[in-house]
Amino acid sequence: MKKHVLLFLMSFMLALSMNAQNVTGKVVGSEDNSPLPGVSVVVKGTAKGTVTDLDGLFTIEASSKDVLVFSFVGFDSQQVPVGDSKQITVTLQTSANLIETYVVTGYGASVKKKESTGANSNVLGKEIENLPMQSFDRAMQGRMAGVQINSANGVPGGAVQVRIRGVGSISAGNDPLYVVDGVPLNNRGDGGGNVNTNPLAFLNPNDIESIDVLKDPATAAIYGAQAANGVVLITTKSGKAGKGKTTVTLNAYKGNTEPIRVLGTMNTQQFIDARIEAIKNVTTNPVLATIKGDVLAAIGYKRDLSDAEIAALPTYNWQDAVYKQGTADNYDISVKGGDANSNFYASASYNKQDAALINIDFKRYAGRLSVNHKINDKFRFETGINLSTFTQRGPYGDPDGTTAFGAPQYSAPVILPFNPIYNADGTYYGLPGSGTTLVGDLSHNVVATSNYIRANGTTNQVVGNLTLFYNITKNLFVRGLVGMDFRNVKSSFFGDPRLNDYYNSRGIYNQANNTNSNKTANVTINYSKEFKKHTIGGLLGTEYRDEVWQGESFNAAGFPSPEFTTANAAAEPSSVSGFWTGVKRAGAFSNLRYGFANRYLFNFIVRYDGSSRFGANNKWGVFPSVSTKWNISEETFLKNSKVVSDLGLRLSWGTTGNDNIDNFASRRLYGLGGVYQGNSGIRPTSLGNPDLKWERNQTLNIGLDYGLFKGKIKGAVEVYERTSKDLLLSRSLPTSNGFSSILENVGEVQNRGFEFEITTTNFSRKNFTWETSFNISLQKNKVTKLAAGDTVLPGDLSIRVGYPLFTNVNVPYAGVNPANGRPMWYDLGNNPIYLVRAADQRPLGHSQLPWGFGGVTNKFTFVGFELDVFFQYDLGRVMPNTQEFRLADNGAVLRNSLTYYWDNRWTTPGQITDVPKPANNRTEISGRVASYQSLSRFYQDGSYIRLKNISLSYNLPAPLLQKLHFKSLKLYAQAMNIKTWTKWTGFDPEFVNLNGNNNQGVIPLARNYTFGLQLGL
Amino acid sequence: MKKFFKYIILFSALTVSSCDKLIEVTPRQSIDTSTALNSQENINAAITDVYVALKAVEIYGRDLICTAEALGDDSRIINRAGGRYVNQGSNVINNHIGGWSVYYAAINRANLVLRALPKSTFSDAKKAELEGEVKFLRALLYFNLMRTYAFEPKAIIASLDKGGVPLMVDGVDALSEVSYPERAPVADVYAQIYKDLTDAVAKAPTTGGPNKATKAAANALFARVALYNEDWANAVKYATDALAGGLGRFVASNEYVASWRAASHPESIFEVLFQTRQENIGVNESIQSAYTSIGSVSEATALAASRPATLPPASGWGAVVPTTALLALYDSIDVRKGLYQLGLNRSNTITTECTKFLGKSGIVYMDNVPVIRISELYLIRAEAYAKQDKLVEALADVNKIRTRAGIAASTAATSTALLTEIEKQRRLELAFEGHRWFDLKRNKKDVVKSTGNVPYGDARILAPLPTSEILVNKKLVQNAGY
Repeated sequence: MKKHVLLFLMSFMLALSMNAQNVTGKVVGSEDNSPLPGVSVVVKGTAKGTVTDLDGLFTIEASSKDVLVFSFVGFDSQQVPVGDSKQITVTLQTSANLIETYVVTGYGASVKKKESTGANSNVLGKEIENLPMQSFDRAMQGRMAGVQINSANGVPGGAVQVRIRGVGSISAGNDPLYVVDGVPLNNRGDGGGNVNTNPLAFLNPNDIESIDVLKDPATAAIYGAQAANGVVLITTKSGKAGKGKTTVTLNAYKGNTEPIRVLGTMNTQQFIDARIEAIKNVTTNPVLATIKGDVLAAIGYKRDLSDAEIAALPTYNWQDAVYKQGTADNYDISVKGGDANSNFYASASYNKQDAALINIDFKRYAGRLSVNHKINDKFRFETGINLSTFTQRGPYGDPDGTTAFGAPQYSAPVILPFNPIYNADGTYYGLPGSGTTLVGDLSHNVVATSNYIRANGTTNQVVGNLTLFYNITKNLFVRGLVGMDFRNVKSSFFGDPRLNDYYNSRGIYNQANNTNSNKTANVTINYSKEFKKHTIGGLLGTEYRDEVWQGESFNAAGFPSPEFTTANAAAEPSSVSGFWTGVKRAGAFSNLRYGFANRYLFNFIVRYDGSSRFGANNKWGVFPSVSTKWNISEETFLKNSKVVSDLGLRLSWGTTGNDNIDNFASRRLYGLGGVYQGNSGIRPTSLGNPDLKWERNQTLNIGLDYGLFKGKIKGAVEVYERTSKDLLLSRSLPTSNGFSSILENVGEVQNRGFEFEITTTNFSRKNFTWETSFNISLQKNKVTKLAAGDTVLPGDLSIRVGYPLFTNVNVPYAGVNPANGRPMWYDLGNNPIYLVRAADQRPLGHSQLPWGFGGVTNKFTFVGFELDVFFQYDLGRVMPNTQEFRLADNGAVLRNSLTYYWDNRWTTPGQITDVPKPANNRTEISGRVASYQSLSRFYQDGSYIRLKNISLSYNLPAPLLQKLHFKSLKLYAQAMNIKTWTKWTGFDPEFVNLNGNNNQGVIPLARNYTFGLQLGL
Repeated sequence: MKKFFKYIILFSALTVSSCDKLIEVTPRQSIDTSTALNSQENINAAITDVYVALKAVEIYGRDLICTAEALGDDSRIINRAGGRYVNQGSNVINNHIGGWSVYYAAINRANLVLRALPKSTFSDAKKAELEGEVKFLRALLYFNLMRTYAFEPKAIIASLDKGGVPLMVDGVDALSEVSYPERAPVADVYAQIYKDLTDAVAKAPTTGGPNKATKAAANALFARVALYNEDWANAVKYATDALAGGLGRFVASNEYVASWRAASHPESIFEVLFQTRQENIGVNESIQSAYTSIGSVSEATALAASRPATLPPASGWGAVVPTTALLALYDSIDVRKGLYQLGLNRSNTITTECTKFLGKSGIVYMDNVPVIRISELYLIRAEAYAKQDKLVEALADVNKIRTRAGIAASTAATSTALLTEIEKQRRLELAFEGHRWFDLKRNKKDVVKSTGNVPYGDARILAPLPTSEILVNKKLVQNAGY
């Protein structure tokens, strides 16, 4: 009402002036073409102005020579000459700096980017929207400096490894703390044993508003004992206060997935030749005809096949049969709206994606509801609930790497190529009891195993919170949050009795039911005040978290036929099991901020944290941090600079903790043992250590925020040193005491790094813009201390003082002796030797950690089109290619090999090559197993640069939309994992060695193409 | 305002400091060590877990039986189990039996029980029984440790001798009790074994066998230990006592093969029991799988009767199989030959396999493992008599085995001839039960095999101590040659 009166008065005054006319119009936002209320409209150079109403409409009196200035928080302001038009429609562009200008710092607090003293990175939900990925952590890859992300495997919804500023812990975990809308998540990937599950897969990435990563203790210390590996704060979408009309958005995409690469393996003829050569090479006085006859007979052919008959033998492509195209589908709908007092956001989604391997997929139904309501001027609440159920079909064997013969991801390239996949009648060849057998070590028909087994994991998850705000005074409010992360994982496995592994037991079935309930509550009191040039702010809070994880499982065997697959059909149960574990944490924390003239900023945090995990003598710990920032560009000498628009120097020091150890590791315990004669036994399981405490990370960070030419070039540079102290390590004890080790806080690891982020606007015209963002992180990791007296961690040669973690240790490969084709290694004196001895092992000078990683995005906009081209890279990882190690036998055993090794093998004296002559049973004539089995031949550079994503979208222009009565319509296409440049010769260099199998039997990532449409109503 | 802050500070201080209790969690699947062995139930459960150790793959689950055979001269290895047993079969250095930490974990469990027993609420009689039972187990564990890692007291090669094994007789359940022991002299460890067995013979219960420790089992083990110790008189004494113990029954000729088809061997005086499906070791590591590709007793019986044109699919690996030389040692009419038969087609090979372990309890890859049986006692006694030149008694015992096997009685007239015959009968009677390797060792004989001989005096006679253990405990001396 006031507004209208004002408008009336202004119009009245304006009417008195000459040449004045009434100009009316509408202001809409570029994002979804929805009307923008409250936009200020001012006649340039005058005090005349108005604001738009709820429908984005305005009327203002202006002359034809006037220029109207439209401005609104969060949007770039725009100037429009009035000219002769009386009707103006203005589309305001969302300001690129909008959310960047605020940094979320935890417990509901946020500060202006310019006032932030910490090293933080941020990704907006918009940037990762509609990527065909099941969990948002995959989408963060390459987009933030200092945040290294690698998929553990290509299972949709599967594990992802996130490392913020390197690897600081050896045994207590390196995963960051994830907090979704104030609720700390349990970040254990609990697939229940049959599938590989990502703890973040419950959330539809399209529901995410922003992801903030707290990299240094300047901000992260507020999370105390859980913050050592960094904190990832996820803010999900909610309605926007006072934004007027309700918007309904429909979104769908569809596409396919395909394998990135298949391996070139030998055909039947090559294998037979290789086998003959391998035997010939280790036979004294070989008679070729005899060997040939033996080889043919051993693989099930007649001894006397002619060369022509051998040439006619078929080759079956097992890789083609298991690596196949699949589909990706996503449908979601969201509704958001609200008025001045209440707003809401609701969404529902369905997502389905296949892996590049048959019968592995992910299906999620998720919903989100967020309601915010202002009860009165003092009191308001926010609540959000995420519901999710997703089912994954898992593989045979561990997707993180397996050597199970029944696992297609491991066996397909290794099965001998003359083994048929199908019988003439289309049934599977070589099943037990059928009278046919697959020849060779790999005797499982993996297409059959993959189709017959049923490995499922279903996760039902609820993450929700209720947050109350009470304003005590204008400057002081209390915020209280209760939150819950509840997860139930039911996984089951049916081993079909038709398969080799389950034929004798007549089928097996197992099921596990695990429940994790993680409750959290916190109360904070927030204060902020500005007076004169001073700003002060603070926060004081307490938090309590209680987490219980429990489960039961059983195994049963003996099924009447493959059609009966439920537990009640089993002839007898074979085992039952159960577990219970829990942890409680409590903490009090405080944050004080002070700023002077926006130039000098200081920030102090201290947290006092306790956890049930730690020893009686060390239950509580203190985690402080101090940080400061000098906004140089606010100084008078730079304030009016045309070049420097922003320059801020940051310095921080602080301590955070890592409490990720076993819940009861500090106690002296008797636990369950085995079973004998129908009785359960108990045994001492832990010696206990009452001094056990947190791992402590001390980080020193120097950062520089910069902006040049009005932000056309902007970014940040960070240098840090992160020292992880008191690392929890097992100190080995003589096992003659009955115990092998005790956990102590003894180790120390140092990470030093440099991070550089830059965004440049290369070209900016009305219809065409080109923007480039680049980031690189350089890291150096070093173990500086182990248990007293140890220079190498007992039991793990790769962890040694003075070297980076995961240093490759082996006997270096010296190549093939050109004289006789035998492989050689270097002993400690660097003399070539034939027989690898454990004593000759040493660090090889490379590690499985990268020295650098990052990403580059180029974004082009042209009229309604937007094109994003995103590269991601990871440099310096050297890993043993264990898959190839099993594919280089060249006929030594009954397994197939890569043609590369066959083509490059040593055959004639004097030949220089890396591939030794084939030797039957990988054994030399001497009778001793030679070092053919040494991994050191197979170290490869796993560096890669990947064209990770191209995304093209088109927004229909406003006039057309108005005709169609849509608020917005966007068409888009995405391509993922398009091309990779690497020296790695396995399926995919992007994997994480999670279970010691390295890349053996890891399900590789897929390439995806999707097309979609997003409609706003 | 100020007042308000005061309240806040007070509130936070209260919630946080009041409360170690706030962050107290009591485990539910473990109990506190300090009170763990206070109840009778828990002591019983702790004793159960000493038996559990015997089932380990490193002990009777596999290695003491079939890996020991792979090391010895009666088996050859067919590489069809992904390389399993190949290196042991050709005695490649560092490929051996082991189990160091498994043994010591079990010894510690036994020691802790022995420490808790006197303070327990059991009656004195029950305390004594339990003590006897646990001491039998501790003696068995030490004896096996010794034959794996050290020389027998009377068969020491001085140049290779690095002593026995650390002698741990006190329980460890707190960090303050952890010690860094050195290897005790061979004689000291044997003295401890004798001591424990003396107690076990005196106190162990007379019933409850063969799956649990009994007086008969203690006598039987004592006989074997005495034999290894060349303490002939005691070997005779305890073998005789064990045979009189009423446990186990010397089977007749016509039921000889059948005795190896029953879940529990009728001759067993002590036998490690595998009872429920969840105790199954599985295809990769079980004895049955190592020895034979045949899946069950009924399959073996059917195949022995008639071999069909289309064979059933192979179950186990059948990787450790008898040498032709061993098979040739059996007389053509020897009933024990019935325990060897052609296996199934695995990796396009079919070989003669030993069928002493066939998943006899009805579950594939799961067999009870006889540790000591009646026949062995006759052979122990025969050898001990022969060593004392008591040829008549020796001949009687060895002929008990020969005639039962269906072959003519021996008429060996000298102790040398008799000892040769006894060694041969041990080889044939106890084949694939894990004796041969240790018999060669205690008799100071070379291991002669096609993959390369292991002469007596070769370092590979003894197993290497775990490298990690040597690194941690500087007082431990590694065996020579490793």
